[in-house]
Amino acid sequence: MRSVFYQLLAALCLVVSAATPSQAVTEIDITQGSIKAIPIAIAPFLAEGPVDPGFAKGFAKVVSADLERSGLFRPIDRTAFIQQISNINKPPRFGDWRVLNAQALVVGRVLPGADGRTSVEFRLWDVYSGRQLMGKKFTTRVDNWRRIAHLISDAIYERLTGETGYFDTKVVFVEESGPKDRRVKRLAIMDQDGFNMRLLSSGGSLVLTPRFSPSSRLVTYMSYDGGRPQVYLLDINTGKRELVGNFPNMSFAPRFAPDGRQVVLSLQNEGASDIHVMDLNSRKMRQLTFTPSIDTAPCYSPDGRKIVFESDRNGTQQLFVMNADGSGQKRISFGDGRYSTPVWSPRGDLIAFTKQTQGRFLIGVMKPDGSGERILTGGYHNEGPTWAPNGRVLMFFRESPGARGGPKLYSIDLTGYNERLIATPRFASDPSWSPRVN
Amino acid sequence: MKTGLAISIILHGALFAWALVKISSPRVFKTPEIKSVSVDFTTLDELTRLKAGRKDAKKPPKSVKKVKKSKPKPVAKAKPKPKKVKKVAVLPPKPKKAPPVPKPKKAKPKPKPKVIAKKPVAKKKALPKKKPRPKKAKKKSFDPDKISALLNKIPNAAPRAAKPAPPAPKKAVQKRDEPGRGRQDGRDTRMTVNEIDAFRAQISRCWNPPIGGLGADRLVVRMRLKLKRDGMLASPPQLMNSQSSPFFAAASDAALRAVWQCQPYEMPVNKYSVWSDMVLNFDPREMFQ
Repeated sequence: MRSVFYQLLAALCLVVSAATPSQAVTEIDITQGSIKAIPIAIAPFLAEGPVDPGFAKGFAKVVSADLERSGLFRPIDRTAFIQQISNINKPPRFGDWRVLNAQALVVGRVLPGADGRTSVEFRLWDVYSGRQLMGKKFTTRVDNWRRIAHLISDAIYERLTGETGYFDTKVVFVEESGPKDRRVKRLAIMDQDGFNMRLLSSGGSLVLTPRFSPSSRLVTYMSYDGGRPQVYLLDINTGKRELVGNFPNMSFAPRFAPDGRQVVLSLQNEGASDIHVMDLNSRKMRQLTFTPSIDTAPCYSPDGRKIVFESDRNGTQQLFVMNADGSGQKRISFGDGRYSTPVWSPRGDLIAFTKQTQGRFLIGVMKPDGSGERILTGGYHNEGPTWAPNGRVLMFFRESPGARGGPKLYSIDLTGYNERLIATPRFASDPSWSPRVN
Repeated sequence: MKTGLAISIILHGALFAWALVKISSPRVFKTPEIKSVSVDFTTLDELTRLKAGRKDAKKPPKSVKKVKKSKPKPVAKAKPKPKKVKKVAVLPPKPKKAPPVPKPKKAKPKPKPKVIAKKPVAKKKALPKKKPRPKKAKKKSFDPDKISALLNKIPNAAPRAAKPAPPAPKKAVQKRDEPGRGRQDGRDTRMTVNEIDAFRAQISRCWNPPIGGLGADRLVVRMRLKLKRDGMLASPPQLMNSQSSPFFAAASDAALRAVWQCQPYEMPVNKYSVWSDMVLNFDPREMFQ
């Protein structure tokens, strides 16, 4: 009986071994790629009806500039285009675009809308497979056209990289003018590409460390109104300003909690400073650190559970992480030099910081547990990193030396490449990147 | 005092003398003789080819010995079956059995020839002497080759590439004409490591995976690829896995673009059956290390 069973088993094994090979297909792992900017063709947007052709072409220019500035795309010079798009509803001649090595093609048109509004349609094509990857339509006021262009850039960026776009965002910063010893510092806001800048304060008093609220409507900052530094809240739509709290001593380094209902800040106390959190509704304060050292620059993690801050309690400025209630304080930076201005990434995976060592100021990132420290850029004076809402790009200010020197804003990719100057009319410092407006 | 001094001098002298003798002639330090071992370096590519066999390989001497070694059992078993015994009889001992054929001639006048004569009658006029020869010729051309072919199949353990060649088995058997030479159409060979690397290099040149996203290193895109003989896509590549995240959509698009963009692929023509249908795993993990 047993031998029969074994014979059957052997027969089954034979059948299985005979059957499987015929189904096998050669399988190959591709583990290395070539990281480079994606060549993309952005055809001039067509103007339909009474729309000014010059106005329509502006969309393609803004989209092209956005994508190029990200460092992940390489817009192809439109003078090289073979096919001139005349109808965006007909599939393009893909062969003409493959010749240019374009991997993606954007076509669009601008239509007149009702009530003096304007509509913009665009299509994103995959040139090699001949598939339409995306098609969208936006309608807005004519004077809001740049924002629509940024939204189109975001849509393309998201479809081709998988990451959240950051082009439809704003940056609040300190605009600086005048000689170095009598510098006038005013609060200002602009689009992330440097356009549409406007001032939010008159320059009568010094302003520092502006920070966006999660809703992008409020900004908190420190001002020397009345000769004493205090933390204020400003509604950027209405211009309404209010004092966060009337404290006997200096208050500084404010930053919103991710829920927007609390502000964490530092309060001076007899030569030392501690971190406090204030509920914006009840205006109640709660002290989180109790050391005779300078604890400052607090910043919440995106989930609101942790706070990273800087402290000199061990002799030099280092980074610490604690729970949102102040418990579990733990040092995370152990490298040479001094660490300051920590900012938690919106993705939660990294903390950006300024590091001062050997007479240089560096901008770097590390994991929340302090491991994986990586320096992105360095120089005479770099400071104040802020994250783009997708956690992929950082902005900071770099001060040039000399009597005529001053700070300017720069952006850099998380990889440490693609450092770009953000054009501003005058000197600029202390940037804070807004969350995505939508 | 003097006695102690004398003893001390004697002992020290003895110790000194022993040291002179022992230390000045240390034991010869012998090292065991190391026999050199000759080593040939063989690349994986060469190894693969060796396993697959070569078309230009010299025809080995008749594997008589092999036949002898492998056959003893069948011979013993074959005793009751005359046909099998005949096959083995192709070897030297057989000729002794062949003479029995002429015997019937002598026996013609007797009744026995009738029985034997039936066969010649059926084949008409053919001389009885010639009949055994063609039989021998058939055995020679068939037996050794078949046996050696069977022997060759076993150590090769049926390489993967042999899988896609189930059709036309008769032809395949015919083409496997020499032991150790593999199929002339190369269908029973696999792509060598070098060939796979060459293909990888072609794809890698065009593959631009999105690496900025959170968890991008864990996004593996699996794709089925069917190619024509000229290296062009025979049909649109098919994704074999999917996820709902925008990161995966971007990653799979990037992989698809790479496959479309890099065609035509330069592939070994004689192994078309191996690469005509492939599964590619686009795994960017190593790029993050």
